[in-house]
Amino acid sequence: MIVAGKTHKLKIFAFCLASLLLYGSAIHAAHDAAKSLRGPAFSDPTKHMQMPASWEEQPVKYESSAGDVSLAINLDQQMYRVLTPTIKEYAKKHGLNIAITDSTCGNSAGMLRRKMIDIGGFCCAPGMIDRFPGLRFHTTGIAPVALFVHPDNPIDNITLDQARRIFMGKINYWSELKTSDGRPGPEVMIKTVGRLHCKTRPGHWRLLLDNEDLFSSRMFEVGNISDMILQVASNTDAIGHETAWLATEYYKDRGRVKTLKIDGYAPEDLDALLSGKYPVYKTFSVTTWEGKETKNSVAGELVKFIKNQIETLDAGYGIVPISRLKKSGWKFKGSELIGEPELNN
Amino acid sequence: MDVKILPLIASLHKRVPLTTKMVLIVVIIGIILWTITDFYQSNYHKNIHEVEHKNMINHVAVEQRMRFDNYVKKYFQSVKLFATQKKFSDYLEFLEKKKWTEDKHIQVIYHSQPPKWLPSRSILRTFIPAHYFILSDGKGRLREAYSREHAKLPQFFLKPDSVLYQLSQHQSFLTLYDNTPYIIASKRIPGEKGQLAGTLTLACPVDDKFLIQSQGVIGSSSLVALITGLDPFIIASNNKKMLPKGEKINALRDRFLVEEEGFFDYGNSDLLISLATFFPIAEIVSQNKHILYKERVNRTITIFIFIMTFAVIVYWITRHIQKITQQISTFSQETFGIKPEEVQKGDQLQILQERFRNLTEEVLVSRETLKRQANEQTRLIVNNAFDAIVTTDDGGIIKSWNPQAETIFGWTSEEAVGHIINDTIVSAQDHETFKKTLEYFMETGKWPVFNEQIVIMACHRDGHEFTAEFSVSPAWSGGHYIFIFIIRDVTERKQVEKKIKDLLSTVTKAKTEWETTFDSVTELILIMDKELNIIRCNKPFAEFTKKSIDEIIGGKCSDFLICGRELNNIIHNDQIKNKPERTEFETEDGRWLYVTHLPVFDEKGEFLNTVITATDITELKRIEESLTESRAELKERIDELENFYEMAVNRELKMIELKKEIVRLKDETLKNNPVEI
Repeated sequence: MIVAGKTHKLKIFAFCLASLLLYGSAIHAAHDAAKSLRGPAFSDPTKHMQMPASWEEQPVKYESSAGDVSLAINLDQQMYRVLTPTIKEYAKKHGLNIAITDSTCGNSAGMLRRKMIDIGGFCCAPGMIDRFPGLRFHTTGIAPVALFVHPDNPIDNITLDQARRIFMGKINYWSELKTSDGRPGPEVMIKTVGRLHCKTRPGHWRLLLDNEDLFSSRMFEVGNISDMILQVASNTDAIGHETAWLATEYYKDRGRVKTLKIDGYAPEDLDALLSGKYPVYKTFSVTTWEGKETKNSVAGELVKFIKNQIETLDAGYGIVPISRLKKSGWKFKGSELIGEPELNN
Repeated sequence: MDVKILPLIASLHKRVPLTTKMVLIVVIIGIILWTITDFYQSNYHKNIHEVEHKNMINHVAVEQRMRFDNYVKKYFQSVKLFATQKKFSDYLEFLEKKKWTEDKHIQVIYHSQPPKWLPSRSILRTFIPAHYFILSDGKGRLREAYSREHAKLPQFFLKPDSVLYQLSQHQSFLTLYDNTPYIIASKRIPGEKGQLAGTLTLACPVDDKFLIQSQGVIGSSSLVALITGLDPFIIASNNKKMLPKGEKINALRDRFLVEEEGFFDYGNSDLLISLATFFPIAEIVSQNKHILYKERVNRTITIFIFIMTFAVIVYWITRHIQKITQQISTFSQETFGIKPEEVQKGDQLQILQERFRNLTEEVLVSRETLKRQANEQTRLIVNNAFDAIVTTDDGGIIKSWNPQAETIFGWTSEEAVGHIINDTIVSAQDHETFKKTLEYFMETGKWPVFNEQIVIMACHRDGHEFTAEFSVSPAWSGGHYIFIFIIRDVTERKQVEKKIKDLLSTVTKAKTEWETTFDSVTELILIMDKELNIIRCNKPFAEFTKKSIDEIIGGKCSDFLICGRELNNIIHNDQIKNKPERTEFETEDGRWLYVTHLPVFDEKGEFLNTVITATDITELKRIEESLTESRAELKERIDELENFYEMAVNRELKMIELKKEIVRLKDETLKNNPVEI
């Protein structure tokens, strides 16, 4: 009987140990899986594109149609809308003729590669393909990427895992999610709308799912922000992603949308973003040329002005300036943001 | 305006018929309104169309962008797919084995048909109709190329730089070479040891063909163009004629509605390129014109119908106006004896107006005449009235005083006018009542004895008082009340009334006495009219018939008595005979009535009614019967007594005779035989 009792205890101990190991490994695996789904937030600032020597010697040459300009800038869509009036005021004040174009990170990269502009604006953290010799990135701030739905959608909050599973096509019905009062969402299929821009740049949607192959084959892709808002605002069953200000404010003429909380944190909660609790964001930056043939002190002054403007920008634009990022432990190399703060838990 | 023209216009205004004028006015107003509404409606339509077309173009633009986006994305997806197909990896493996990357002298192979490392043409067509399919070795050198349209390979592909492959290897890359935009997608294929084995690149110039292909058949009906530059110009379009290459967008804006949007941020692009959708403004204008034309036609028809309807209505009204004018003429002629004017032609309303004005004048003249006559008549009535007619203001001041008032009260008109009526004609004992009555009216606006006779004691100038009857009527005149008092000396009438009253009292008393007697007699009395309806009956009759008097009145005698019909016949006959009759009747309950009816005639001999008197003689009848029976019995007894008497007397007589005989015989015997005896 004693032998039998000991054996029994041993069996229980073994079972508990095995359960703990399994549980631990399951958590570890889940953590790893989540980590593997998340793409990089930043690229290695030390690596850059190899360009011919002749290219490096090339000075900045503006497009002929730009006319006689003292500075040429290409800004990303959000910064163009936020900063253009103040830049124009700055130009007026300093007697400068600044040509500003409204475009994308890809265009900025292309124009920089062709050395057509002095300052390139990026709404994504720069990728290796954007890093040209003699080009310096200055981070201006970060902004949360909101997941948003039609205002009639009763779902208000989802977990990051659920968000990923929605876009991966593993959660297909809104009824698989819960409303704030614990009831299941509507029994309709989720229509995911994606804008998989800047695939070679880190951050942005890649913090949700690293690459386009992870997204559901059912996902409806659009080519620009305006169409994204239009699609979600006109479909009660749709979900999309974009920076909160563009989604809820700037493009509201395209239709109204409602942002979702992720793990209980709203994209408008900039403190949550700063502390790393809100997981998806965009990194804004502008560039200056530092090469002998390309350096422009006027551009350097303008970049300083832009950074200062963002520091004093209204919180409604949803942009966290670099001073707050630095204070919250975000990692910088020079003037470029290169890493997230260490999380305590 | 020229002074000469005014009469001409006035003459025309009068001469032109009303219908013509109204139609002309309506047409003029219609044209003005039509022009105004057309102006506003045209603008409204224009705005609506603009909004609609803007919405439409937005919608079309979204669709075009999506088609273009999908088309561009296909390039990278296709290159990934083609690079993973088995025939491609087999071919690359074969080249790897031949160590093709190490070749120093290379001969580029240009295929005129899809090479074996590419899918068949049908698959290529399904996925992506790329212009160039390029295979380069591990060193990035061009080795094989296939051009779908046998076009010469662009120079930059002959010696491509590494940046090109880096930018196009993870997404479709839009770039500019030799002023021609290209879309490039490449896939680098690693070898067994991880080295670069080769690169498959798809490329296509982003030109008109590309754009048309991207929009498919569905999108071919809309105008679309790719634009670039700070001052955007067309680099490709699906309609060369309308949207020629190089044309600046700003120059096109006055001819087209333009919706431009789109940065190719799903891929890499160093081109500031946008997709613009165009819609010809001429087409909008043409559509607008067409709709407006239709609307104008509809509006014109509607207005025409309205005008015609209006003309008919005006004509109908005009006809009636003419009739009214005619009626006024007839009325004038018949009432005032004015000769009708000649029938005029022209504005019927004006003619009516003229006729009406004439009639008004005639009426006014007549009214004045009538007024004069009425005043004269009033004066005559007032002056010749048997009653005193006195008018006062609301303060009781006498304003007029007729001759009869002079007679009744002894004051002349000159003396009475201006004095207070109360002081002038009312005796001291009725002063207060009279005064209060007037004050009550002034306070409440109500006349406590309105249209009723007031009897007061009036006072004559000489101081004697007499009974006078007033009637007072207030009248509103000139913002004040005037009171019209009609006063009559009713002393004599009152005396007559007293006599009548006394007489009436006597009559009433007599009537009561008669009715009491009528109801107190034991006889049943009925009075019947000519039709033999009971018009009166006394209480005994009601009690006899066990009905109320009200139930009996109006009924027939036959309704209450079994013998009534018979009685009616008798009465009817007797009416003719004009003489009273007496009859006995037995009622249904075995009672006997002794009925007397007396017809009553007026002084002309006309029958008025019949008075029927019925006496209950049942007891008498019973006594009579009893007497009859007693008489019979007595007779019988008498008879019996007579018989008995006869018998007894006869026997006595016989006995006497016998005795006499005996005596005789005895005598004789004795005579003869006196011993024997």
